[in-house]
Amino acid sequence: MTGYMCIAQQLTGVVKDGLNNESIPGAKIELKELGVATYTDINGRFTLEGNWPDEFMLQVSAMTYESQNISITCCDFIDLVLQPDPHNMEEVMVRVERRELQGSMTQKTDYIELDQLSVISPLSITEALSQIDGVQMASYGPLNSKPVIRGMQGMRVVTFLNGMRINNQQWGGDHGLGISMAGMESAEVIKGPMSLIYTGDATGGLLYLKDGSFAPQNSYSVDLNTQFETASLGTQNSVVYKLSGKKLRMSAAAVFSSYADYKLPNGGYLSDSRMNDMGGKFKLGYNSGKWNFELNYLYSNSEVGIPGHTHDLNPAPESFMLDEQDRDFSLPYQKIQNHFGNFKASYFINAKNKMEFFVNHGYNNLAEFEEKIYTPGIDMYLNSSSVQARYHWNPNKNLKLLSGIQTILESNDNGLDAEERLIDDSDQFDMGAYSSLSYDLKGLQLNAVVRFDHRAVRSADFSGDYSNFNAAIGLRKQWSGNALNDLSMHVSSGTRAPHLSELLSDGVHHGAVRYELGDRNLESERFVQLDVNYEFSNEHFSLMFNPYTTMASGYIQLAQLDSSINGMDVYEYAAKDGVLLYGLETRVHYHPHFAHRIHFETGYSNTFGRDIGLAQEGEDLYFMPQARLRSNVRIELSKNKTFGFASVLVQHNYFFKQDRVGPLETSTDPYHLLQFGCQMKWDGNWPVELSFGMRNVLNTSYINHMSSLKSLGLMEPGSSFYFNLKWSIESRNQSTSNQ
Amino acid sequence: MKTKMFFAAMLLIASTACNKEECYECHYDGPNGEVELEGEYCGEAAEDLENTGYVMDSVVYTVHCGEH
Repeated sequence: MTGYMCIAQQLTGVVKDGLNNESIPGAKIELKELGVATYTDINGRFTLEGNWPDEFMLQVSAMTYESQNISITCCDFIDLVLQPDPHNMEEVMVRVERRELQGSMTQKTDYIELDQLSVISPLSITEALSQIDGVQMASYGPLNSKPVIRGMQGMRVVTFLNGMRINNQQWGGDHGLGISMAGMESAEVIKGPMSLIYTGDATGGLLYLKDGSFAPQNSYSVDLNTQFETASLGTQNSVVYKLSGKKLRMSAAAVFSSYADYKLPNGGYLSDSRMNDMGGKFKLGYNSGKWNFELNYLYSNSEVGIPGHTHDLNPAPESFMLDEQDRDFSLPYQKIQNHFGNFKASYFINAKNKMEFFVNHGYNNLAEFEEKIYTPGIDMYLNSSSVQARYHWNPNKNLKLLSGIQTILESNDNGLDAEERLIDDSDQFDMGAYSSLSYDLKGLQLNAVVRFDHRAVRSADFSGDYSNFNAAIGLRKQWSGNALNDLSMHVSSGTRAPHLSELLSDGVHHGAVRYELGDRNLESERFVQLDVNYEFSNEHFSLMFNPYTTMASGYIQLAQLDSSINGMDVYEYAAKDGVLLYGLETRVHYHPHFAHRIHFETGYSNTFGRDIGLAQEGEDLYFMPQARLRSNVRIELSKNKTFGFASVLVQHNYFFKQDRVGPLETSTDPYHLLQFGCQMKWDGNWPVELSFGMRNVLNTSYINHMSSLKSLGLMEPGSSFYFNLKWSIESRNQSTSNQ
Repeated sequence: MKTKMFFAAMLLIASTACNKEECYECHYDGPNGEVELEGEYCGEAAEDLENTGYVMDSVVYTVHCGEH
């Protein structure tokens, strides 16, 4: 390995099957740090031309093979060997991986390829994420939802998009994730407070979303996607255009969605559950030698109905139901507009050192119109600017060090025309610094992270400062023989300073159908989690067993009081002395030797949450999700044919009774959900994928325990047929090799 | 060709989301219940009516426009 810097280098190599040594055509070669990709040709060979750093990471992946991430030195010929992965499923399967998301090989994350889920055609990112054990949807109808990770949601679950932290009023019970799946490639989930190199306050977990990679070098692609489902006569349409030269790359996407009120199992329609949404994305990348730049921009504009809105103290569910379906504009509704922009620069100092710089800005406007078309009930503007710098030092192959600093400035302002103010105008400043060490001691992997954060909150009549220190340590050991065993353990802390809404709320929140009261005396809540994960896998069988427990002090809970104001139930933010959360996630996968094309998978997840403080010891926490048992049967069909059925999926979910509820909270009955999906493919010059299926096949009447509408007795959608059509007008070009 | 197709698709999507001046039926909550106002009110007229209210016998009533 030398330290010189090449000019106009050619990176070449070949990808082969580890069992039979045959070349693998169509394997994807991706330089993730540089945003550059290509595919192997019919001989399994690839070529990438450019001005590369001395050393960088390369990922090679192919269907039915285990992916590899390796560090390579420019520009020797690269021989890559992939081992077949008998458990590889093209869709739905959530891959448990050890990714570099935390700069640690000890941390387990759950990885899901969003652009490969067409056989189940999720309506939103949150619905896609709910395929992961331990993740469910907190919803205001299926189109307005956000993820719940091990019972935690809202400000405890932090979302990153392309490296930028997304702030868009996640504190609100009726405020969904607000990000379209169009053009998005993957989502990774870290459960619990184990993401200290990204933030110290993701006490519930972290969601890392990533847009699709650029088109392969010197090529272009156009992808059209349209989706339709019958319950809400809803349609999602998107177009993604990508163009890549040798150094400069761009990607642009547009999306439009429209959904009418959804149909209930009893044949009626839930009033004001409609939604319209449009948006676009733009991405630009450039690399030259030691520098790599990336610019991302996202715009979204949504009008989301607010179902269940009433000032009656004891409304009947029938008062929210309509006999006819409608999608036209109607009060009440939310109008949400987002602009997110981020710029990233990476500098590869030498083979062992790299620096990264991030500059981000987010603009969010959320207005709720209850009684008037032109005058909002609440109108909030959130501007968030952040700067971050990270330094990577890898002195040898066993040791990795990562350090960084972050600052975020948030400004929350109310529109002058709004009838009410839920939260006063206020500013928030965050600063954080962290350092992470990963070490491989003869097969025993160690990771340790320390982090310091300070938050300052200021409004006209409030001033608060919160300083927090957190740490995490993880160990991992793998051993293999006839089967692969993997055992890891993490102890980690996370501290979340109270949010503006928790401190300063004092008003009617129409969207959430409640009056919300804050508490200015709230202090930071502190979580300490122990997470143990064991995995076993051989050629036909795999098992994942993941128990965890979390102690939380100063846990801030939004609890219902036995009173009402202006016809609305009153909820108050209050701190608990001590809270215990514990649970289990486990998954089994079986792949019979006598039937290679059939996959059976079952996963179980459950979270318990109890107050263990002196005042309310033994009380269950609010909004803890139901235990869930999910089973998939998937059959791969016509694997090597140009045209035909590709796969069939049957998914069964059983949600257990949830009667471990907070005082005044309603319990939820158990229910079954059955879904069927089928996918067809045509691998011509312009590949086409057609998926169709049915959600809630049995037309089950059920209430989601995590739905904000449950106290009103309002059901989720009934049976719904769907189809999804994806059409790649211009296929990706494969590379050619000079060898 | 591919560029033209892309922009055509973008234009198609954008055109379906164009805002047009909407017209609404309006009502006010009188002493004896809801009272519909005659005709429809559009754009600025509807906004002014919502902001200023409807005056009847020297009493200003809050006006609500649009479907609820």
